[in-house]
Amino acid sequence: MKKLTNEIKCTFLSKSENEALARSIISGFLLPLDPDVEELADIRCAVSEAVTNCIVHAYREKVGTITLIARCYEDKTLRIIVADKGCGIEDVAKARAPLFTTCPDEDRCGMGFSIMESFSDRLSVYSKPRKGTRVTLTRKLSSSEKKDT
Amino acid sequence: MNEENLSLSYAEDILTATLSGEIDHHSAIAIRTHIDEALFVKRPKLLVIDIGRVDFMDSSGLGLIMGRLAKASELGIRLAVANPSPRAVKMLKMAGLDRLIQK
Repeated sequence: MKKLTNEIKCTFLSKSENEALARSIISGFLLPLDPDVEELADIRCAVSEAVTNCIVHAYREKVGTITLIARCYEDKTLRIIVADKGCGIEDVAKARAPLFTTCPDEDRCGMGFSIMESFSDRLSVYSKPRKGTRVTLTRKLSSSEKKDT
Repeated sequence: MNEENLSLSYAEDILTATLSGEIDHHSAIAIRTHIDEALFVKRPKLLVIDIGRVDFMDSSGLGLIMGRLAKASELGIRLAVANPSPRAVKMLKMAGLDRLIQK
C-alpha cells in the first residue's frame, strides 16, 4: 500500500467564478511536488473540466456543493477527486464519448471527459442519477531524476 | 472595445477578437456575447479569434470557438484562429478545429 504524503479536501459552491479557484487550489497543492510545466497545465485543465461539469451539468438548476480532494503518494502518484451531489449521469459511457453534449446550444463542445482522459493516466467516473457524480483522476508525476537527465 | 479577457478591433472587413488571460466557462459567457454583438453590427467578411495571449484554455474555450464558427457561418462570415500556442494547437486538434488555424 502506497504511503500518502499529503492530502487536501475542500468544498465550494458550484458558481462559475470558482472554476479559477479550483485551478488555483490544485496549483497550490502541486507546486511543492515540482511538476513540469506540461504536467501542471494538464492537471489544472483536467480539474477545470471536472469542476465545470459540476457547474454546467450536475447543478444545472441550482447552486450546490462541489468537493475537491487531492492526494499525493510517496511515488508522486496523484489522485484527484471531484464530486458533486447533483443530477447524476444516466449513461456514463455515452457521456464520455468525444463531442457528446446535452447542451449543444450553449457552446459546449462535449470534449470535457476526453480532455480529462488525455491529461490523466486513469480516469474513473462513478455516477448515480439524482444522487451525484464522482470523478477520479490519477496521474503520476515524473520524478526529479528523470527531469534532470 | 476592451473587457478583461477580450479586445475587439475592426479594419478592412476583418473583425479581430483578441482573447487574453484564462478562458474558461465563466469568462466565455461575456466573451461570447460581445463577439456575437460585434458580428451582427459590423458584418465583417472574416472573424479572426487571436488566442496568442491566452494563458489557459479548457474545453469551454473550444466551445466558444465552435459556437462562433456556427454563428459566423449563419451570417456568411469566415472564421480563423490566430497565434495559438503549441498547447492550444493540441487542444484544437482534439476537437478537430485545427483546420481553422490561420496560416
